[in-house]
Amino acid sequence: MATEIIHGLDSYFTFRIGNELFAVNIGHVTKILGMTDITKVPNSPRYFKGIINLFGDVLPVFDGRLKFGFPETENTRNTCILIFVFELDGQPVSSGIVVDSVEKVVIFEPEHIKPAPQVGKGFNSEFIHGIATLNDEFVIILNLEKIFSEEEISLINAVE
Amino acid sequence: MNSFVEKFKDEVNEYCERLESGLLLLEREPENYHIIDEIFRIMHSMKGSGGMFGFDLLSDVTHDLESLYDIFRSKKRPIDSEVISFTLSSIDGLHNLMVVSPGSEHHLLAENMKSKTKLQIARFTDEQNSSLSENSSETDHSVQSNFNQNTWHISFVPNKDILKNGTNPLYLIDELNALGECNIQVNFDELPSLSEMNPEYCYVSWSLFIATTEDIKTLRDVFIFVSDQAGIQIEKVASQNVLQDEAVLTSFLNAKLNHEIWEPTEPEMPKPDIQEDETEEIGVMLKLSVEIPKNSVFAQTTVDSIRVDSQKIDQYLNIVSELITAQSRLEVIASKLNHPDLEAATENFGKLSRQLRENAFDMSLIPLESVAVRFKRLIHDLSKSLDKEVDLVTEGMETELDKNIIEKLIEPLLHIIRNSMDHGIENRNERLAKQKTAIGAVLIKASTAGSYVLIEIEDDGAGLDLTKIRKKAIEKGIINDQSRLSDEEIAQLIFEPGFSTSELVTDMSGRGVGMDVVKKRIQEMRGMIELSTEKDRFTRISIKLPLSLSIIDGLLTRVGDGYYVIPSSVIKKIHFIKHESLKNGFRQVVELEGVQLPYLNMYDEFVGDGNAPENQLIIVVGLNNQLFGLVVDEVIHEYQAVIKPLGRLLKGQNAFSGASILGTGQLALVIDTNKMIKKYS
Repeated sequence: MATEIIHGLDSYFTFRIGNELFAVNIGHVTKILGMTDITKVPNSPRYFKGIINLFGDVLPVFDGRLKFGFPETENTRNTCILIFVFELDGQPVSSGIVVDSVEKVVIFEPEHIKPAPQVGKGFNSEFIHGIATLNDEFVIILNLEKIFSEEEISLINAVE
Repeated sequence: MNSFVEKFKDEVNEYCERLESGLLLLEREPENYHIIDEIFRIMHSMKGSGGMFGFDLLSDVTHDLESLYDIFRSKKRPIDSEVISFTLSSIDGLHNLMVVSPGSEHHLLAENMKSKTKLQIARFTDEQNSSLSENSSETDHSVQSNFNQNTWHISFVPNKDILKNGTNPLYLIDELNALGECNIQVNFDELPSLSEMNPEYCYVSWSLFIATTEDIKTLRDVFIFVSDQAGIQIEKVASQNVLQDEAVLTSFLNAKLNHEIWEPTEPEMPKPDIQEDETEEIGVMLKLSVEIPKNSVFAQTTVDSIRVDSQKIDQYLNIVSELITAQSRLEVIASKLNHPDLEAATENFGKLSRQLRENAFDMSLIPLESVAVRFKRLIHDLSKSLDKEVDLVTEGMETELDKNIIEKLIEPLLHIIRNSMDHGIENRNERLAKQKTAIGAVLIKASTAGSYVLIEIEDDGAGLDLTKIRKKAIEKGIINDQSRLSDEEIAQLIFEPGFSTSELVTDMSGRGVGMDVVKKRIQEMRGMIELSTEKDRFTRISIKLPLSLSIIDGLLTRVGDGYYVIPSSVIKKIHFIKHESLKNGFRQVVELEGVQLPYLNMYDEFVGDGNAPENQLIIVVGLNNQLFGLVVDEVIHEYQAVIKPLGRLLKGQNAFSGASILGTGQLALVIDTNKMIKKYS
């Protein structure tokens, strides 16, 4: 897909998985889809939901709940697929994540983003770009490149 | 600006290819001056456009190379194979010099190349030093120069559309001005009234007298690039500078108007012999330069074709694939609605989109010929460094293949040729001892068979030593010493990972890349590779490849609620089978028509809830004499699948080569039988 990352924006897109509020830089978000048919790819890890047909392109979709260690639940009306674009070996790659609900777009000035705490519970702090607060609630800003880094991919590949 | 630089790089790459093929041809026909002319011209163009786009190093080096070829072009000395080899290696250097902001290593390379070129030039000009010094003494004594000068008349009538090629005629006039004293007349007779004038046309022509010490060849060279775009006449007026002598000039022009033959006026010491020679030469040369475009060996590369960015072709193919998907969706809807008009229209639409697909597909194919020059080049280089004389014979190079396949095919093919040259073909003495011809042969043959292309690479060398291979395979634990293998099977062992028979790791093929990598590459393109050999006679490697990577003929099947496409090319047979009969025994083997067949029950493996349907089908696929069964729930129909890659995130998964979008918008996974069998057998 010829989608490109837009750099240098201070706007963040927020969404929920479980009770947690997450955010990614808006420059990485390309589409929000309602739940559609996801074609399972046999013998892949559980957090890899399968592939979808997005206007003629085949995209892999991950389950945000399983990926980040939340228990699996039924889909609701609010369940969506977020389509991201991120850089892998210098080339833009698109992929989807199933999230429980999408919230809104907010602006975080760089100085309001605190570094991630080193010890997080049940969550790999490597995945976190930083923490911000919104209406007295913590927002976890994700580092997409890390989440889909080579190590993670090889993990997908290794599972038989 | 960047896009210009990209275009320029494309252009230089094309120049280099033409240079290579020209040089290789020249090696066979060193006397072919058409080729030398063409080489000179390409170098001149490279120098020019290199300077224009700021590739100064490139332009510098080509300048010297150009001077070198000027020696051969002017027939002062014949070209020899050392120069040809030198030029070929220089072309590689030129590729490296194609950088926008050169570093010190580039300057060093350029200096190195330049000094080597100078050496070559010196090699050919030594004997002419005497005549050169004569020339320089002439120019030193400018007092005498009036008498050493000749006066020429040049009539330069450009074709109207000369500007379209980017030629600026004024530069040519400037160039002449630099050669000597000029008396220039511009002719505006053809200039139409302003309302009728096309600003893109050139309506002007020139008539000029020039007094110069240069000979007619130099004058003619000024027009070398426009010779087919303009009427050029060069005539001698006098053997001295008569520019101030109005009477002579007028009478010359009068004679010309009346189509009289002009006798050049002579100074006190006439030299009739030389003159005659020269006028004769004019005629011949002019004729030649007019004929070159037709006779030129490269003429065929400029036939009615246009250059299209390969990315645009890819985009076009993608859109056509989308169209096919949309069309099959329409078919699904039409059959649901059951409306006769709609069905007729859909059918027609289907026919058209199939035609469009074939047409688009055709466009993405390029002939093998386009890479053949690299094979020739490799063989040329290797025969020098290995000291083995080898002839390359090619057949069917016009066979066309998807450009993506050709790109991926080059490396494996070069590797195979390298192997043939290094291990296959014996050196001269060995060959003579075996009563073979002293010169070895490598044959590359390509042909189309259905939706496949067959490529064979054969050498008439020593063949493979099967006993040695067997021994080695046992040593490496690839087979055990009990295994009974046919000769044919032993030969295929060289494709096994970690297998290399060469005891001496040579510069050529011992780069850690074995035949196993070649085989892997070919299989990645859904191709097959086989080898046959006979001791002291030949080694032949046959490669079978699909015409395209993006569209395959397949069989659409269902397992549970998932759809899977199995490539038709590997399917041997389909049997009905009861799920019951598959349950017996712990080994995944079923007996069919008296043959023990390993199989994979895709339902049990992919769905795995134990509710497999009672009646299933087993699809027997064959690969390299090995049979394997894939058990599916239902065979839907034959299906032409447009394969979409699964994306780089899933690159490492090992059973599917991609996904295809069905008419309903659902996705079907395309099974990579090679990997599937490897994984489950």
